Amino acid sequence: MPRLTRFLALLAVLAIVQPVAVAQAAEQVVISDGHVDLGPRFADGQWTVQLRDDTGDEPKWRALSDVVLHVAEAAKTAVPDDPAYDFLGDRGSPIWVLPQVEQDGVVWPGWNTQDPEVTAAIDREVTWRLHGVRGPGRFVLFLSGNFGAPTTIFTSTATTPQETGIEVGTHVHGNWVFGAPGTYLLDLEMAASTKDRGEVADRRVLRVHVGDDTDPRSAFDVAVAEPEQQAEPAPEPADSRWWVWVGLGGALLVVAAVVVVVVRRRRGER
Amino acid sequence: MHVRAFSRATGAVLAVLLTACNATAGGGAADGVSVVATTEILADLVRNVGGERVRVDSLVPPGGDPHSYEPVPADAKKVAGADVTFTNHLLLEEQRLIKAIDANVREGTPNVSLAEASETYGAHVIPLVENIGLDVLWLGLRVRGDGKDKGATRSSEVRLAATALDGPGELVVYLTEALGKPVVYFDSADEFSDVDAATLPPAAHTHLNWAFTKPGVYRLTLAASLLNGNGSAPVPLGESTFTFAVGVDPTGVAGTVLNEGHTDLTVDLDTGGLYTLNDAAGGTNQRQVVPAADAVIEVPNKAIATVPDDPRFAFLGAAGATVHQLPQAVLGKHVHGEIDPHLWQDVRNARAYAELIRDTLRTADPDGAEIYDRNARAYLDRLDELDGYVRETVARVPRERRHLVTTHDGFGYFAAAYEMTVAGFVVPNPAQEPSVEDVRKLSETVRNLKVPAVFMEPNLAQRASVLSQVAQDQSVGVCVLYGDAFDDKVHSYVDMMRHNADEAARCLA
Repeated sequence: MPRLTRFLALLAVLAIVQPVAVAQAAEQVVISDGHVDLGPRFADGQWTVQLRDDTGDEPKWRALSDVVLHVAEAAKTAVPDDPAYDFLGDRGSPIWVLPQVEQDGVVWPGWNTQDPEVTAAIDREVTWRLHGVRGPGRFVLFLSGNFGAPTTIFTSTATTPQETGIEVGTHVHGNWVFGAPGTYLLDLEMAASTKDRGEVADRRVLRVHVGDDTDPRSAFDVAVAEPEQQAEPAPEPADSRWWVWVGLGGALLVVAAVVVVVVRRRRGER
Repeated sequence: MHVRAFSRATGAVLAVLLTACNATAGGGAADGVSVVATTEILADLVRNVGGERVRVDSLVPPGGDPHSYEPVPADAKKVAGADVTFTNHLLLEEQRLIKAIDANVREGTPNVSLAEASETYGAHVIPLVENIGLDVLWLGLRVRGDGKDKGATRSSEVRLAATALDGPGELVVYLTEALGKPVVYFDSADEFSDVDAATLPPAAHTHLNWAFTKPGVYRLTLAASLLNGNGSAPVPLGESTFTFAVGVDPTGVAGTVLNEGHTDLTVDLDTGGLYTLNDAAGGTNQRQVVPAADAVIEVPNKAIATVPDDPRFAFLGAAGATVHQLPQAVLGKHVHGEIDPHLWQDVRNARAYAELIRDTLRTADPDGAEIYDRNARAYLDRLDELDGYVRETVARVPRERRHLVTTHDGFGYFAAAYEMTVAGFVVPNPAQEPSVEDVRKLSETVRNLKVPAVFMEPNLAQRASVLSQVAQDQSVGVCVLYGDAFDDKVHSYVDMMRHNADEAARCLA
């Protein structure tokens, strides 16, 4: 991608991330840098998997449908020449890694069960399930342990659902690995038993966009078949949204969108 | 993996079975109710609640080990003839025994897994620890606050430098990156200098490995400064000295022992100064500040790790040497969904078992309900008294000596209920063989903590040979704790728990 268009795409991202203070709760954001956590909370009393966004001045819980995690090009590396990492792909092949430990310039996603209502209500642990992955390449979530020995939590190379436990009141980070650029949809569920012997569960899709060659915002256009009982709140009226976009320099967005469309077409022709 | 789901299923099945039983049989009460329990301990609880009205058989023979006992054909016959069957389960008994029971229980008779169903009677359960090396404090570094009054911006950085270490060995603080490459932040081996520093942006935190080369008490001094860039001079933020108890008992070293959950050595940009910021396990006491001078960070002997044969980790010492290491990630210490099965080592849990046994017998044999109620009331009173006795007896041992080293990981509930620690064991499960590394770790544990005695279980003779050898090498006593079975001296649950309390007090005081 020529430098100028990348610059425009970046501007577009900035424009979208900026209006936190202006827009209402249902704004859609692309997060490319800083700390976020997946986790359950009782949103309006309803057990819901959300994303805690710590990239602004104040932490903010967002609906997964309003977020794209953008894996910037800075996250690109290669599968090491070490048999311990063969589960990530062929040695030397490119991978995009969001590491367990914070790295400048890439988003740092973790997961936590620390919401006070959650710690008060849930017994022992939350079960975290991966129901499926849609995307252009391999997806692996793993932990680096003592002396770096990797432990896989989820991998798209095995059958789903897969599950792991998250103790209540904990906050964990892992290594998120993607094998090719493009949009990934991670179909995730968090379930738990409550202390009063009830059951809670919620299943949502997390969008991840890998690489800088295409607009991460395009990930919002990838349709998700959401289960029926999880109807999203009614979208904002189209005109108010339009107003926000104009306020941010809609022309710029349109330019970026055109570039993206062209790039995608070319890929499609191959 | 699916124990909890299974437990709920069991509960549901139990309810159905009980109803069915109610409707059809009424239990062979005329010649007494026939009950089969897997272990002697469970059989004893049933006898106390059922009294003369029940005949109780246990499948695992006296002194036998439920973890390894495999069923014989006579067991299937016993189960098939039983009106009620009790197992502990949660993977206590050998799987073939559970399968044999499930395959042979008569249709319509209750088949109750006590450990799994007793939670509804208030039993307290502990998740099963799979990797004890991860069952330790998770220690990181953090920058708290925005420091706006000190000119900090989002592009500022905070530099944390190690300036002094006082202790018997060396400390290396390092990070293993995603793809296995270690990055060292502080290494005391070559004297601290400008390179022994970590840099974090405001409001950031990071997790690191903390490796100590020898046991003992360490004091680490960290100094923080704020870097606002553009050539401006660093703004000093103060310094603090943090204390670590490595392999030794932390009691009395400082007021607050930090040994579980998540702690960050924290620079506060707003107030200046460094302190520990703690998220206790289980979600209580979130974000508790403990000043550096009041806190001691425990690095227990279960954190002993062997330096790998990999040149990239040579900074930790020679391959095969041991370090005490708090790891950078602790997820995976528990087996997802699995629970430690030895619930009865906490007398309050045995109480829950007794109540569940009472209600099961009542439903299977309604004509005997009054008798079961009366027996249970009397027995629950005895258990309450027993709980108090064990608590008071163990409390006589000074806190810093309440360390249990045992043959298998069967005393987690005893330790949790009566304020002791499980310092080590030969193997987690008696069906496993200890490795050379396990034995060495056990020896180091006994030596570092200077425990006066280790504890063997009379039914685990083979494991006891490893423990006896360690005890002999370290010149410490060998005492007896009853875990999963009785022997020719102890024939009841109450006697067993009284013995365990007395023995712990006698051998550790």
